This record gives sequence, C-alpha cells and structure tokens, in this order.
Amino acid sequence: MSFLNAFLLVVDSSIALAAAIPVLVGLAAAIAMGLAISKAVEGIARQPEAEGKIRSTLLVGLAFIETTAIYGLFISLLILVL
Amino acid sequence: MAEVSSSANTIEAKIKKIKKPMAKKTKVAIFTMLGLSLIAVGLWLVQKLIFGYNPSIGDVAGEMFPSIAFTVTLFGTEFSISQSVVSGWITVGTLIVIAIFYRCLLVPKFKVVPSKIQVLGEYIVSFFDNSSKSIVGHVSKSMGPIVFAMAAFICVGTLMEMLGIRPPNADINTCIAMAISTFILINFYGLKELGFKKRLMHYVKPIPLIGLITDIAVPISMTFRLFGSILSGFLIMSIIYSVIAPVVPAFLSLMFTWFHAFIQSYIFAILSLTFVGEAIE
Repeated sequence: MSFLNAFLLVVDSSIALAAAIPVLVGLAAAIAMGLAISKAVEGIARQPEAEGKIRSTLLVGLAFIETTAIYGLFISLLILVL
Repeated sequence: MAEVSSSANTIEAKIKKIKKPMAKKTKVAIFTMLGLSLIAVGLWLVQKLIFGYNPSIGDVAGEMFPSIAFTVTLFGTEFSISQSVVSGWITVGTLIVIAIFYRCLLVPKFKVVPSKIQVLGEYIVSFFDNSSKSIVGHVSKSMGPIVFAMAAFICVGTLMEMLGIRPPNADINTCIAMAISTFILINFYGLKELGFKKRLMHYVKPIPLIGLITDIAVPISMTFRLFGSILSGFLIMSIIYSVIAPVVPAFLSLMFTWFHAFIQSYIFAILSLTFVGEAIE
C-alpha cells in the first residue's frame, strides 16, 4: 500500500513538473524575445534604411530563442509520456 | 479661376476613385467573413446532428503521436503505414498538382503587365532567389530551389490541418528527415566549395571540438524546433476544436495554423541557407 502511495505521489509530482517546466522556460524565452525585439526596434528607429536586414536577423534570432522554449515543451512532453 | 476649380474637381474625383474600391473591398471582406462563419456554423450543426460527432479533451492526448493508418502486406511481411506518411504523400501530391497547373495553364499566359496570380508566383520565386543569393552567394542556383521546396512542403503540410489531415511535420521522423537532408547539404557544399582539408580545418581552427559540437547541434536543434512548434500548434488547435467547435477556431486557426505555417517554413528555409552559407565561407 505504501508503495502504491509513493507511486501515486511520483505520478502527481511528475505531472506538476511537466506543467511547470514550459511555464518557466516560456518566462525566460519571453524576456529574451522582449530584449531582442526592443533592440531591433531601436535599431530600426535609428537607421530606417536597414530595416530589411534587421528584420531578417531578428527573425532568425527569435527562432533560436524559440528553440529553447520548445526544448522545455519537449521535455515536459517526455515527462508526460515516459 | 476656372483652372483652380478644374484642379479641385480632379482632386475630388481622385479621392472618390481612391475611396470607392476600398469601401467595396471592406464590404466584400465583411460579407465573406459572415458567409464563412455561417458555413462554419452549418458544418458544425451537420457534424453534430447528422454524424453525432462529440469529441472530448481526452481524445487530444491520443493525437500527440500519429496512429497507424493502414497495414500493407508485401512479400509475406507486414508494413504498418503511419498517418504522417499518408499526409506527407498527400502534401507532395498537392504540391505536384499545383506546380503542373501553374506551369501548364498559367505560365504560357504570362504578360509584361502581370496579373494577380503572376505577381504572387513571381514574388515567391524572387523572394527565395534573392535571399539565397544574398546569403549563400554563388551556390544559390541549386540552394534556392531546394530551400523553396522544403518551405513549400512545410507550409502546405501544415495548412493540411485545415482539411482535418494530420500535418506531416507533427511527426518527429519527418522533421529528422528534413534536418538530416539539410545536414547533408551543409557538408556536401562545404566539401565541394572548400575542399577536404579546409573543411576539416574548421573542427580545430578557432577552438578545437567546437565545430564538432556545432555540427551535432544543428540537425538536433532544427528537428526539435520544427517538430515542437508544429506539434504544439496542432495540439492547441485540436483542443480548441474539441472544446468550442463553431466559428471560434476559424479565427484562432489564423494564429495557430496559418501564422505557424508561414513563419516556420520561412525560418527553416532561412536557417538552412544560413548554415550552408557558414559552411562555404
């Protein structure tokens, strides 16, 4: 019986962890994206003619930042499934 | 005096000319929206009343992984074909049909003053041509079409979700295949452009072993980025479909299906170009 209780505890905590990880990772990714976008907007305001280059670089950088958030999501999916 | 009034008249006429089509456009847009939402409600009612379709959130968990569509027996052994393979081939078929239609029916009619569909095609092709030219330089003749094909596959495959077909990129195997093909392209062009010795030098030159780690990280990060974003969009949309069926998904799918499809295909294309450009430098 105690084994079953411990098992249930593990299952519940793993679900809580799976919910918590994407939230934390999303927080970090959102802060990083905000920094990147604010710098890009500053750059465009200072040099409007460089908008195209700044935009494409920004999108690639945002993709890299998004990858970290997706790693968190992936780990939470692994916790849920395995 | 007469001149002034005539010029004022022309300005007014111009304003009228500018104003009229816009009003027409907004009217058309509003009526299209209303019609589409009516169709959505009608389809939902038909689904609910005739087919008795009543999904719950519990079904969503089963959609995380592709299920087996059908099994084929060849030479005495059974092969199980997953949903992703089927939807991938549907995507490829759609792309081929669109390409043949465009080439055989629309390209011979091209004019100097382009029609709308010609502008669309020229815009897409010149976008990929120009970005590959600016990033990879002289190998853009082969890289541009390859990257265009990958982006078209991702975009159309994700938009298949609108028809209720599971997107092929919501399976990790499809994403691994695409990332590995990018990896092969990176190494092929690196070896071809720089030669064997120079290509191997980048493993040791600035800091030893960091090139190796980069080479391993590229396909993994490309795989998980594509897989994670497409799968999360797909799961969110299936949750929304199962909770609120009418009208609302039509607007939310704009964010979670269309936006994802275009942004992910763009990012995948630009990242492959960037990595190839790094390898041939």
